[in-house]
Amino acid sequence: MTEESPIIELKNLTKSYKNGMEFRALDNANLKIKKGEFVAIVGPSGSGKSTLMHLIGLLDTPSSGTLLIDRNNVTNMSDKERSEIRNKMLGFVFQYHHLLPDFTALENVMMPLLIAGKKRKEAKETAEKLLKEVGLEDRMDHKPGELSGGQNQRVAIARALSCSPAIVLGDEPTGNLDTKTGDMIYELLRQLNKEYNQTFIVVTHNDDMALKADRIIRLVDGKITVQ
Amino acid sequence: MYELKIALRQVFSRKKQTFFAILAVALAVAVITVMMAMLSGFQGELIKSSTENNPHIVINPQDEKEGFIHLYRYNSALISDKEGVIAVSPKYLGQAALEHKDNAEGISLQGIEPEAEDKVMRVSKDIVEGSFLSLTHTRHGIVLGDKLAENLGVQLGDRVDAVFPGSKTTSFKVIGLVHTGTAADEVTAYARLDSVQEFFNEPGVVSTIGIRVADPYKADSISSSIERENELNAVSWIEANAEILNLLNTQKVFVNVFYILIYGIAGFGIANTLITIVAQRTREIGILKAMGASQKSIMIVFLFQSVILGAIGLVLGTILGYIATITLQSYKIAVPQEMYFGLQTLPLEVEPLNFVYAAFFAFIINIISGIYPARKAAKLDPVKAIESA
Repeated sequence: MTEESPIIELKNLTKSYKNGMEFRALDNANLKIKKGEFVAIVGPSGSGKSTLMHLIGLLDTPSSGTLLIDRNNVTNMSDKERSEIRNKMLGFVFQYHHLLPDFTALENVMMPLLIAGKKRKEAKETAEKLLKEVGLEDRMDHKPGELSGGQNQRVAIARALSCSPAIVLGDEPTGNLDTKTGDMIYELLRQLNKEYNQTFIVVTHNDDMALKADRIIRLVDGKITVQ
Repeated sequence: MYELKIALRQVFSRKKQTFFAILAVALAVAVITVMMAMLSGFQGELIKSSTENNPHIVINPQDEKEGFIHLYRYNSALISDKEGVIAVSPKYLGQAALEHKDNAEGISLQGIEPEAEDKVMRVSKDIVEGSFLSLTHTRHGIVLGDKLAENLGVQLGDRVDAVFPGSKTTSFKVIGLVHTGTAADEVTAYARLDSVQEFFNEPGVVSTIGIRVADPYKADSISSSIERENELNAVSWIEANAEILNLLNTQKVFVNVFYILIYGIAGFGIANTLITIVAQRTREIGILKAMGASQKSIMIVFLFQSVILGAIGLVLGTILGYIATITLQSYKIAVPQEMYFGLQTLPLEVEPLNFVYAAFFAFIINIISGIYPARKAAKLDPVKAIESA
């Protein structure tokens, strides 16, 4: 039973915006994602991919329905509890790297660990190890402004992984990179997924990339059409 | 405390912005400390001038018409025994004329007991030639205001004649010159109480009794105890200067309003800077939230920033204020004497407590100014924040 229970479960999850007319960005989504799965979410622009990511990432709150993460209902949690889950269980990689510009690569990767209350020394060791893993051991003391797009995105991946989250969310993590770098980043994600058995959910426009995933989820007009 | 780390990094990465925010606080604190130095200097100087060279309590005759105090020896002795009383000086005041060769000047002749008078009025301090206390053993000695001596054309050792209708013209030897820097120098003459009483044919009475007490701020209670127990008409310096002291207190209200305005301006400066920082950092705030920073933490980050700006500002401000005060002090800015109760230069007093107050309030204002931007940052919707360009 424990083996089979999904790490993420959506039950009739709906997000709607009222702007004169009701608009359902996500419409009654039901979805189960197993631990260690690499899931690609595809669909046209405005189909609700990002909304889904934001809901799973606890950055947004659903209008109705339930979201279970590791069997915990997170829909009605306080800001503090949600922040803690974001910190400990979720890692984000965005289309733009979104690193803190005033901090070095190493400090950026350390940040989630420091937020988690880890000691500086421990955080530094973990961050160094991760940066080495993404191939940036000689760029640790550089600030985002001094790194290339691909390098920054690798720092962002290292940062997403720093607290060893159960779930890594990528919102078009390669969308802003050239094809070659994008492929490299994607391969890196896939490799890390296998290595650490973390669950990866990645939004992508790239069909080749989606095909390499364990599962493809297609969204159209806020509805999950293919699982 | 990663919040502090982020706050420090964010504050110091925008140097110009930070510089002007700090400057706003620093200037506010500096202006306020200088104003406080002026105000307490003025008040201090006023109190000093009312208490240092003047009796703290004056006993006046009960009967205005008669104008004399009887039994002054007995009363003086009683007052001397009171707790807190340092010196008691009975004094006979009379108008007369002094003549020397062809010169004649109207004077205010003060008959005093030299030692007692010196203790109450510190006359010796203002003596420029001769000695005040040698009056004690010079029955017909006289100490003159320096201007008076100049007008009469007399010098130390010369003799002058005191003239009063109905009195026997008496010759006094000039044994001292006094300079107080006031108009009194043109009319004041001191002689021994017994000589003056004899000259005016009024033995056994005085015009006033001056009293010096250990703590000038207790003058009021000692004064009322004298009135109650000795049935004398006593007026303390506080009563005598009530109007000026009231004026100062009224002035304080206005000055406080002024302080609030200055602090308000500085506070808006800080708030404005922080709102700008929040606007510029919106995406970063979103990212921090995505990384698990709670609303409370985001709030702390920005409150820290306002505290950092404020703390540096107030340290600079107090230093700036101190330097400005010292500089103004050394310039000795002249003020019209009549308008400032006899003060010749603008008094500034470096009162450490004033700096503490100025800094403390600046700090409070800072924290208050930081609350709105910090709350704004904390409440940002992470999705919108991250997607903001």
